[in-house]
Amino acid sequence: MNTFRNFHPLTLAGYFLSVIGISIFTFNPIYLLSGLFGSLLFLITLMGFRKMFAHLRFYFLIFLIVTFTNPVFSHNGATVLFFINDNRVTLEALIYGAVLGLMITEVLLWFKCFNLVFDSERLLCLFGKTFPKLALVVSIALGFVPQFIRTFKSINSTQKALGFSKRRVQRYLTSFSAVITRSMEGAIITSDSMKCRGYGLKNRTYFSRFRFTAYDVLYILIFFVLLICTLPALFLGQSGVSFYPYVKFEMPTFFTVLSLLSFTVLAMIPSFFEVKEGIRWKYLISKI
Amino acid sequence: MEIFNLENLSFTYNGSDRNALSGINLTVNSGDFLLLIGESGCGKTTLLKMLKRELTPFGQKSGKIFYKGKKIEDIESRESTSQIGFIMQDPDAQIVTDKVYSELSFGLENLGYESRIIRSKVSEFATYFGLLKSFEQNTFTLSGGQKQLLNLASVMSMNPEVIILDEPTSQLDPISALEFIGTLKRLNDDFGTTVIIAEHHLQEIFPIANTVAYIEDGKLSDIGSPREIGTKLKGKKIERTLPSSVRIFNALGATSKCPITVKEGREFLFDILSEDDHISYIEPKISKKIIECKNIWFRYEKRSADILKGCNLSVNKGEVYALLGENGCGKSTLLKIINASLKPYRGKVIRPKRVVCLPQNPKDIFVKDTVADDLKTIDNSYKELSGLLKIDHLLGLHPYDLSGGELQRAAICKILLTDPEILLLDEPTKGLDNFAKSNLGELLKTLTDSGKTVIIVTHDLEFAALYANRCGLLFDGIITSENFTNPFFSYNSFYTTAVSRMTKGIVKNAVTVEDIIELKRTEYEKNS
Repeated sequence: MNTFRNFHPLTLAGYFLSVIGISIFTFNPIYLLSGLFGSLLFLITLMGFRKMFAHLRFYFLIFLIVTFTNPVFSHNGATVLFFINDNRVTLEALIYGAVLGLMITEVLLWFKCFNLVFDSERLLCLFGKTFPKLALVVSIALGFVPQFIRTFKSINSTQKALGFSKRRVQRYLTSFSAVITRSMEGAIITSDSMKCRGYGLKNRTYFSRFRFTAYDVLYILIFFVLLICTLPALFLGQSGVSFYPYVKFEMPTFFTVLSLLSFTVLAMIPSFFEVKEGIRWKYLISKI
Repeated sequence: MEIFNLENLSFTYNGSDRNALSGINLTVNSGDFLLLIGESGCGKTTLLKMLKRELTPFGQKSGKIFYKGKKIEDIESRESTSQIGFIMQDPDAQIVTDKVYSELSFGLENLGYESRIIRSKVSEFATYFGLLKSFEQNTFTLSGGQKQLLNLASVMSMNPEVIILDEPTSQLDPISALEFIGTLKRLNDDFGTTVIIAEHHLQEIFPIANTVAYIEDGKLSDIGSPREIGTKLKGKKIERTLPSSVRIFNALGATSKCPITVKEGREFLFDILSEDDHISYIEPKISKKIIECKNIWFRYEKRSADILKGCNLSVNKGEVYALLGENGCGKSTLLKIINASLKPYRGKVIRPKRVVCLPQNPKDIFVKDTVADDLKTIDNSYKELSGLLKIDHLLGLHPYDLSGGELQRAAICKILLTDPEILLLDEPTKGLDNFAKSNLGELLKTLTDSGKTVIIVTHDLEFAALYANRCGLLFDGIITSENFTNPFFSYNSFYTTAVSRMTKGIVKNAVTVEDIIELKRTEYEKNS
């Protein structure tokens, strides 16, 4: 079950744009942590606990690399931990690296969610109305690629079985050129098929199976309000953290608290949504 | 109402001195189901393409084509697009987009309908064609049969007056083909949609058509009801593509009403066969085993279901073994296990070293620009073999320019160059016309006579009945019935040849048309 993705692509795009946008432009670890938490919860609902953990290893590695690279290049900061080749390695630089790593990891995780939710047809839906021809080309390409790969595999395995060339590279190249030839043949038929069904007539429209409903309007409004509440603190610099020479948080103000809360709610919406629908569903079932 | 009216239509392709079509006069009325028959290259496809303006080939045309009383050149593009639907052979290449629903809406988008209308039309047609389950799927996940139904549905969604189909079932297995033809009949019955179709395999479609047109060398040689045409084609080469009942009727020289369905065939045979008639069957000798699969278990992934569940199979030297079964029952998987390209997780395969497989699409065999170049990649001394397989005249051509039958012979030639002991053929009759099929059958006989062993995986029961020595039915992961061809088909009640179904309970051991003809020939010779 994945109810969040049933929103209209426009709503989804708006959501991801706000979350990722805010994450990129803040450098406050609290924001980043709540964003990270939101993305992790969402990933669990998308791909399950076990699979998510398998994925996390890669992200953790990125986090570590960024964290430990920064102090190597940046020697600012007051608290010296130790020296490498007469260069200071400071605690502040290490923390800065960790926050940077956190930000990159969080943004990557949101992109991962985006990838899982936003498949090609949702992408097409976004710009299909404005660029119907481009949308069609993308759609053709997406249909073409899997067929291409399948043909390649079958030709290559046949050639392998026939003992064509011991060298793998040569076999691959030969099979590849055979697939190209074959695809050209197919393309002629495809273009005939397109002509038969009126491709090239004037005023082509674009059809997408997604519908923009009142629900979408409601959620876009919610996203918008949360965004409005989050932004002022960021623009006023009240959510700032300075790292050098010492790590120092600004004193929290009303705007900072409002902003942080709003962002946390925003980051939690998808997983909250999944959980809510899950509970509602269970409840319905139990009623039946 | 007249849909098409062809007046003295002739056509010559540019650069050719032969008329592809000459002097064709034909009228197609609304609601007709017109079947075009004729040998490969007789001009069927050209004729069909002339009827769809967007596909009209380049060349010299004379005569006139009228669509609903208007010259076909004068009808508006929008009208021509939406009212005349065209479906081609290749199920894959005809599909334009990546999703089932976007394929269904493709034509409607071109016609400029707004989303609301497209949504209602698409949902209507997806429901009618049973595409609901696959509605959001990627088109490449569909089977060949589903793809062709999708092509039909996406043409139908534009609400055409007439649909033109050029051998739509040639790339499908017989069961999907039957479903496709059934859908066509339903469209014709339910909506009065005019159908014009060219086909090679006629057993099922012949009785459905209300008019059959026989085209010979670009001329409309005969046209009439299936019954009339059935008897008129007696003695012609095309006759062997006709339904079994018609062939028996013609061969026995009967003069009553020509039977065109299995039911009518049964009635006909009931009258002419007596209880004394019987076909003797002698069990052939068995040579030594060459392949043995013992207790084979196989699955593709750790968590997936078993495809083969303790399958046993043994094949004897020098025989043609036909492995039958429905789609997805594991026939191709078993073939790959024999071929050693897959390994069973339990069980044992005893097989000789040199086993090669001809893939479903023989094009996979060829990677060079000419057939000769391709053969050279295996062995330079291919001349003897190419002569034997009668492909000498094709050696200089590009493999993709060959016809289905030619391509297959060339592919078999390339495979034979590796000097295999065992030949595995995956769906070898797919896309072949009857002429090419019988050539293939003869070729298989020559191969087994020279000591090779052949295993074919096929859906084509008629082909198996004619050319296999033994048949096995794979079901639910094991071979559930296996026997010599004749008893195999005469014991089966449903999964068997048309002749066997016709003669069930009337005469034993009759499986092919030749069986019946042989039975009655002596009697007829006596009488005459």
